[in-house]
Amino acid sequence: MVKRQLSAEALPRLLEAIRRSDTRLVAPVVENGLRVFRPVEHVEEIVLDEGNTAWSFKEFLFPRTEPLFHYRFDGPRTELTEPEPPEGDTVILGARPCDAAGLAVLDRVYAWDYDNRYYRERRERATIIALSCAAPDPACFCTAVGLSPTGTRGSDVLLTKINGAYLAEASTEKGERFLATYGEVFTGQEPDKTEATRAAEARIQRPGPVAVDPEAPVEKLFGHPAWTDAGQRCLGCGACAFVCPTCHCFDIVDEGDARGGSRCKNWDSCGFALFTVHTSGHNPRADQPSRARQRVLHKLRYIPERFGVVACVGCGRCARTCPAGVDIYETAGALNSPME
Amino acid sequence: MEATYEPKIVALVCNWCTYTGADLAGTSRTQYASNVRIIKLPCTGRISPMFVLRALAQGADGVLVSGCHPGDCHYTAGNYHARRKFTVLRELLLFLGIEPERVQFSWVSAAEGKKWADVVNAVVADVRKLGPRKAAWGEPVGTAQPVVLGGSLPDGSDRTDQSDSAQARALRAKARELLESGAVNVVVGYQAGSLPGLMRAVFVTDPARVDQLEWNADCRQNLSVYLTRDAVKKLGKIGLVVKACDVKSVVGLIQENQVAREDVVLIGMACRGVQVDGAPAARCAACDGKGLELADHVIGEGAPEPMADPRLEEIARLDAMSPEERWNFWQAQFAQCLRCYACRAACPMCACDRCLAEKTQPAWIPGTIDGRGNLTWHAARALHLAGRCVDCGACIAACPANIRLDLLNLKMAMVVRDRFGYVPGLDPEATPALASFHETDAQEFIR
Repeated sequence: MVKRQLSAEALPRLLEAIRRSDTRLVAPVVENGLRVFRPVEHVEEIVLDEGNTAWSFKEFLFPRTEPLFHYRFDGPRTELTEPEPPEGDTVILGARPCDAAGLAVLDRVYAWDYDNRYYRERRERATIIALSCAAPDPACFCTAVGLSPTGTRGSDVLLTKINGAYLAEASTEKGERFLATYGEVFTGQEPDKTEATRAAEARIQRPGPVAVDPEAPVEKLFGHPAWTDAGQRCLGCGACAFVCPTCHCFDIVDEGDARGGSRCKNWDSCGFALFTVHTSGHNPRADQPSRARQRVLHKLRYIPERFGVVACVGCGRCARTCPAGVDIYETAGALNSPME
Repeated sequence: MEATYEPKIVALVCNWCTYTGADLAGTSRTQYASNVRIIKLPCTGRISPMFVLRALAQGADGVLVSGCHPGDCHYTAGNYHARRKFTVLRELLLFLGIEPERVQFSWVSAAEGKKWADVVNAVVADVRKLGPRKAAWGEPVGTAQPVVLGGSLPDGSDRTDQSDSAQARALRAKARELLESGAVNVVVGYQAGSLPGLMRAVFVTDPARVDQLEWNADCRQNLSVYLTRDAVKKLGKIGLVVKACDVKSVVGLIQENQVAREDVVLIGMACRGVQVDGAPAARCAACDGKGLELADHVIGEGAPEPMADPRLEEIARLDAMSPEERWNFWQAQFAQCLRCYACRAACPMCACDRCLAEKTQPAWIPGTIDGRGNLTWHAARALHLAGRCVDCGACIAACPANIRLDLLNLKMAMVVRDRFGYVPGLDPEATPALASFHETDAQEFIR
């Protein structure tokens, strides 16, 4: 791991240098009263130090919608064309360690039994410059899933603010290249982040652990009363999935008319009734409790089992966003309490 | 270039009058502009506003909707119903920033071949003058800069301190009484959620657990949404904790036969307004507490003094903008939409088993999460809620992207009130405005 220091005064210079390069700079800005990641044109727009963004930056790697190909009917022939190439080199700056850690899940899912080139091409060209979190809020629980407000998982470079300057830790080759490319703004000193980590972790109010016993029989988990509780309350929207840094499900639809159109890959959510409905009309997850169960077990049991990584990063967004007050931290807690 | 611009106009016409009138124009060798593509339908009553949205989405420069004169409908009243729908559609499109000349309406009888030719010529001339659409459906004109409207809350609207523990105690006592007597099987009320400032639904079936029920200014959610949910319905007869605004949506559900009045016991809470992020909710300023008298039990007393609704300033600002500015305002709003459908999920009036947005043959609402799909979704939802939305605020409270759905729905409510004299949610016996008509409904916008 390569470590450098970035002074507070040098940060705007770094941002400006990235903006001027051929690289697209994506960072948190305030738009319409919301803090969200957007491609940045003026570095003054960037708002780094507030809490977390309304939703994660995943849309820059896994867009809300993207064409897989375009089609055009030409008499008896159907002409197919490639989609527009993905955006070029991108620096995603200011991601919180929880969101960056979400990439560990997306990377595994999208390179599992099928190489999702649409994701891979964007991912390969993205450099994640994360920023340690100094002020976890009451919904945050990253430490409960084994992460940290100053953790490096998923980031190429992690910046941690220490006494007014930033420690820059490169944990990947891409990160080292980044530090080398913008070498003139960094200095060689390496402040210690132990105290910053301790202070941030001490502010987390939800100790957890958030985990599902890997040995517990699934059929027993299925019958847990926690699903009824969450499922009764759950209204069946997709807000939790769409703000989540690790939710990765999509739907594929054709958008077009009699002359042609595009086959599009769109975000989808297991909270929707339509998600599992069969052509016959049968729906294996026929009610909201079974959909609530799927969301939680997928994150805390099935993905850990398959990929060895917990698919919840403890960012707390789903709990903050849910219009019905469903909270994965609480549901996981109920799951771990002894069943009658 | 301008000389060669030929607008494409989609004409949606009824089979019996206008189509026959157009036929007459043809057989009479009456010349008229060849810019219209006619689509024949059985009746204007069959012309869904979605057809107009689809034509615009697919790039039509203008749309003309035409049918039988009032009183001439071959199905008695199809055109009267259509007139109400088109009134609302037209106002929605204006509010979204579509120039009024692009979507026009006419009555043309089978005998009026000449009138058809004149109407088509006039519409084509209007649209030709406007020129091509400045932006595709769902895309801004140029680069849309987000506009923050921000109406100011009236003085004294900060009356949301509801930490009245006596009211919460009285609520728990009433809930216990209802559960113990068997008058209800479950009380659906508010409990403290897992995060500060967040209240949520609780389903109390055991009289010993009424202590879970809470009441304060964070009780924003409209719990009547649970009246139509299978997971809750199966708990038995529901006692529902409601604010005055929530009662209005229960009335709406009764009007639309989604809920039977005798199947629900309404526990009304006297309310001085709820808060969002610690500030009074704008929608609460104008509340007069009406609706609570329809509840079976009222807990607490006193109705708020209605004040100026700060959102009216915002709507006035939008109305005063050019169509292009308004269009850009909405495109910037809808650009944030993730299509999570939290607005629909939280809305008590969105009670359909299967939403139009979930239908794929045809897919009236593109599922794709982009400007085109998002604009169609929000336009369709605003149309479906016109004359039904009671301004309970559930959709904006639910929206993770802070989209100003309240302005859209409030504007439609104002149109329905001003044009048809109808305010939803007040009378369980009333026929909803868009399910009825009056022969004398204004039609100054119809040629």
